[in-house]
This record gives sequence, C-alpha cells and structure tokens, in this order.
Amino acid sequence: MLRGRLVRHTGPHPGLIRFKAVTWRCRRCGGLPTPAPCTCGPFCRYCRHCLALGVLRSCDTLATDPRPLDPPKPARLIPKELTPAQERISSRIEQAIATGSRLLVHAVCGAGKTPMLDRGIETSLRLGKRVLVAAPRTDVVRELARHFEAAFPDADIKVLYGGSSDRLQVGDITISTTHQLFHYYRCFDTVIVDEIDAFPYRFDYRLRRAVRRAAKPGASRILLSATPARLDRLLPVVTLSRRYHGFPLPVPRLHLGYRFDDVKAFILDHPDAPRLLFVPRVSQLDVWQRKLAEVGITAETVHAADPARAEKVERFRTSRGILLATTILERGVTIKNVQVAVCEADRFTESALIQIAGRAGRSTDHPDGDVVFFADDRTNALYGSIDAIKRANRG
Amino acid sequence: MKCLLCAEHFIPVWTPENLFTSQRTCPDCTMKFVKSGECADCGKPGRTLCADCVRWRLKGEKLVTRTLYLYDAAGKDFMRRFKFLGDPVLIEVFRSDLKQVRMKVDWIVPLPLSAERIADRRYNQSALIAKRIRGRKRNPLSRIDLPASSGLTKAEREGRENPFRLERPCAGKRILLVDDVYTTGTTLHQAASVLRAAGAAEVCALTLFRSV
Ligand SMILES: [Zn+2]
Ligand SMILES: [Zn+2]
Ligand SMILES: [Zn+2]
Repeated sequence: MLRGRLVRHTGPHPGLIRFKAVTWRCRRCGGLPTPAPCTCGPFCRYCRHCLALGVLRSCDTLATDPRPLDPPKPARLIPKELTPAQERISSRIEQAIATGSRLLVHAVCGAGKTPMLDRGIETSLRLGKRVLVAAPRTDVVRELARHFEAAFPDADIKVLYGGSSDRLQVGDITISTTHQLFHYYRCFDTVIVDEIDAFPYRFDYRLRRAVRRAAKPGASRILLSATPARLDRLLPVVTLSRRYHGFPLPVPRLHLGYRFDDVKAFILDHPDAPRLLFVPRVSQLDVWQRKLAEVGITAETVHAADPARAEKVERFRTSRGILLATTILERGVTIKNVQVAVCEADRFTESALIQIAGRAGRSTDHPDGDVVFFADDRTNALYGSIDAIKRANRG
Repeated sequence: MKCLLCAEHFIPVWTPENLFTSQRTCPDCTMKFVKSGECADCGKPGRTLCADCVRWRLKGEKLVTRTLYLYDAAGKDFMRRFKFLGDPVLIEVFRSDLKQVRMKVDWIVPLPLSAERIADRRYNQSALIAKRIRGRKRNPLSRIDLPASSGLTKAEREGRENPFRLERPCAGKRILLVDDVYTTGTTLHQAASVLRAAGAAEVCALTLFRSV
C-alpha cells in the first residue's frame, strides 16, 4: 500500500515551478536547479540537491498520490511513570495537540523528552489525527522507534530512514528522518520534531520545508530541543530544566592550553568506565587513534559514514573501552556511566558542546560523570555552553 | 568553493599553471583519478602496446585512442553518477583536461546514441565530452538500437553487427571520435570502420576512461 507518495510521470503540471522574475525552484526539495543539456531544448534545468531521489528536470512532472488516507485508529498506551515536572510538560503537549497549536519544548539533555510525548500521541490518535515524529538523525529515529513500539504495542507504527523496509508508507504513527519527508505532502495532522537544533536540520532550509510540507494545513507542531535557536524561542515555550532523575547536569571542566599528556591522564583516571572522546573532523580520528596507540591505549573510531557504526556503538554500550567519535554521537545516545572528553573543543559549536556534555550522567545509577573540554583557545561557544548548563542547574 | 564530486567546501589554490582554469573539485577528489598508462594505441598500463591492440593491428584496424584516465573505482563512480544517475554537470570535472586536448583534425565526432536511448537518458554523454574539446563538431553517424553492450562477454561483443550508419558524406576528412569509456574498443572500431569505408582520410579517437 503506497500512499501519499510522489510519483514522477507525464501530466499537466511541470516538475519545477517558475516564480515570476526570481528563479526556478525544485518543487520536490525547494533547491535551486542547475541548467543542463536535454533533448527538450536549450533551457532545461534539473535539481542536483535531490538527485538521490531520482532526476527531476523542468520538462518532467511531479505528481502526488491524491487518494485519501484511512483515519487512524486509537491505540492502547502502556503508561510510563512521569515526575511531576514531566507531568506538567506532558499535559501542555497534550493540550497543544488537542487544540492544533504550536509549542516549543525546551528541555535539558536527559530530561526524558520522549516519554512526555506518549499521552499527546494517544490523544492525537483518539481524535483521529495522524502523527509524525521526525528527527534529523537516523540513530535518534531508531531510538524513538524502540521507545514507541514498546509504549504502543498494537499501534500501526512505520519507521522511515534510508534503507528501512517501510519506506514510502504511512502509518498511524510515522517515525521518520527529516530526509525521508521529501516524499510526503500534506499527510500528517500532528507533527513532532525532535532535536530541531541538530546539524543538518538547523541550517538546511530544504529539510525545514520538507517538514512543513509533510504537515497538513493547520496541523499542530511540537518542537523539541535542548538548545533552541533564538528564532525558535518566539514560539510558545515550555521549559524543563531538571533531568528525570532530579540530579543536576554534570558541569564541564574547561582545560585551556592542553597537551596530549592531559588527555592521556583523563583516560587513565577512569579505568573502569566507558570513555568517549570527541574530535572535530573525521580525518582527525586516525591521528588520535595513532597517538593513543603509541602510548599503548587501544581505541575504536566511529564516524557518520562508517558502515559498522551501529554495531560499534552497541559494543561500546556494554564495554569499558575507549571510543573516538565525531559529532554523530552527540545526540540521542544513552550510555551508562560514560566519561566524556572533547579534544580541540574550541572548534565545536555551542549546541554541539551542550549536547556532548548531556551524554554524561544520564542514568539513575550514575547521575554524575566527568566532562572535560580540552581547548587551545577561548571561544564564546565554550563559555556559552558551560553557562547554559549552570543556568539550567539553577532551575 | 563547493566541490562538484563530494560537495565539501574547499579553497582553490591558484598557481601560474592553473590561473586561467577553473577548479571545480577539491584536491582530494582530483587526486582520486589515475592517469592512463603506456599502451600507444589505448593507454592501457603495462606494455607499450597491449595484447588487444596488437590483435586490432593484425586485423588491419589500427585506431589510435587517447584515453585520459583509468576506469578504476573512482572512474566507475564518476560514470555511474554522470551517466546513470543523470548528473550531466559533472563533466565540468574534466573541463580543463579536455580543453588541453589539441589534435590536428577536421571534425570531432561524438559517438551517437540510438533514438530510444536518447529519449530515455535525455542527453548524449559523448556529445557533452566532445563539446569541451576545441574544434568543429559534426554528426555524420547514426546508431540503431541493439541489445545493451554491458553484460556481454568479449567474444560476443566483437562478433556483433555494426550499429552505426552513415548519414552524410565525410570523404577526405580527418576525424576524432569521442566516447566515454574504452572497454574492448569494439564500438569505437565499428564506428571507425564505417567512417573509413566512407572515405575518411584519417580516424583517431579519444575517451575519458580506459577500463583495466
Ligand atoms: Zn530538488
Ligand atoms: Zn528537458
Ligand atoms: Zn592497448
């Protein structure tokens, strides 16, 4: 059953629309198309931004499957225990979904954002509103899917990411990466976007447009973030500054003017805990791995394009090893009793640093953890992130 | 500047040699392509004249083909994106290489596609390559549709019927044939034999890649 899917065929509507006196825009992704030779004449263009979804030329057409979707069925929820603070946010979300309004949930890392959505989603389904939960990262989507499949055991849940078997389908609850939403047009009544400050989403107007177009007009939109941008704070905001276990966030230590020995000392200080080291670029993973190997420390590396990424992270969860990572692990990954260090921290953005610091102390058994920023230079991002964490701890 | 191949931003480094050429790929992506080798007739690395080319010469069908790069993993990835995913802008990657090609010829002839194929792909990749070379472009050939050549064995390829037909006279002209990949050279030799039969003075060829 393929529904809400965009199919390319020949018909009356051109695939790329022309705005008066401005330029051509891709109708599928909103990007700027490129002129290219074509049999149709000298003025043909095609879009390079969404080429992975198949070529779309200005002489092609883009069509939407117009068949109406079945109304979603109410689903049974297995409720989770919520703290009073979470309860307050949860009822605000429920209210926003019921009235079809917008809401920004500003909650610190590890506040337990996902369980707070459960009641809202249940309400939405009861009112016959189709739910979309979107996140920019595949890892986050997988973790969300794991949670919702446990919370709604008999609901129709579809999980979409590059290479998933549910692609191009619509469920009562659809959990998707933002990239997959190019295939949907006005399908969902309730749109929940997690991690709106994550890397590709915040700067990519095409992804934001895809989320906007996947929602029906008048859909309620719930945005979740730990570090919202100033522009997003114009929406109605609810704030949650306590973690679900009630302990404060670990405040990062700043180590300015570091040497390699300082990093080595950090690693040796925590011999019986998993240690996560962040580096700013993929090319530096090997450099650091070699440096550590020289002093007899074996470390594994993981980056976004790594094919064995999921297995490596899974192995790291249960081990006491050392993992060198780029910023892909900054979000949505919960590892018990993890100790975090950031090498060359002056090259990270503020939101990335806040997210990285939020990896530590997420479980109730180990509510504290060591977070160190190793930096050569002072940046606003370093001080801004430490300040934001201290402010959240004050409440 | 944004690299055409990997979409990463890079800063072009200008030297006196490349001051007037545009750099569209980052240094990493440029390094990936390997220049073709020693064979005088096809650029296959190893010997000064490879076994295939010796056989063509024995048959009396010598065709000097200039190949720019080897069809290795990087070349295959490039052709997949350029031809099969339909990203014709990528030819800009070889813009300066093709601009430096200087050959004493009258006509530059890209190998044509059959009508069915061009209706499907919407552009002729060989014509795009030919467009970047200096000189007069002409299309004296046409092609009829035969089963696709990919997936055939060497013997099957060589024993096939000639798909090229002559459309307009080319007597007395020196001709440069242009194609994308030199695999066994059968296609180029077939086109060359049609042109020679029509009285072309001299035929040579140029391709982007030589398969290894
Ligand atoms: Zn597009
Ligand atoms: Zn066209
Ligand atoms: Zn040869």
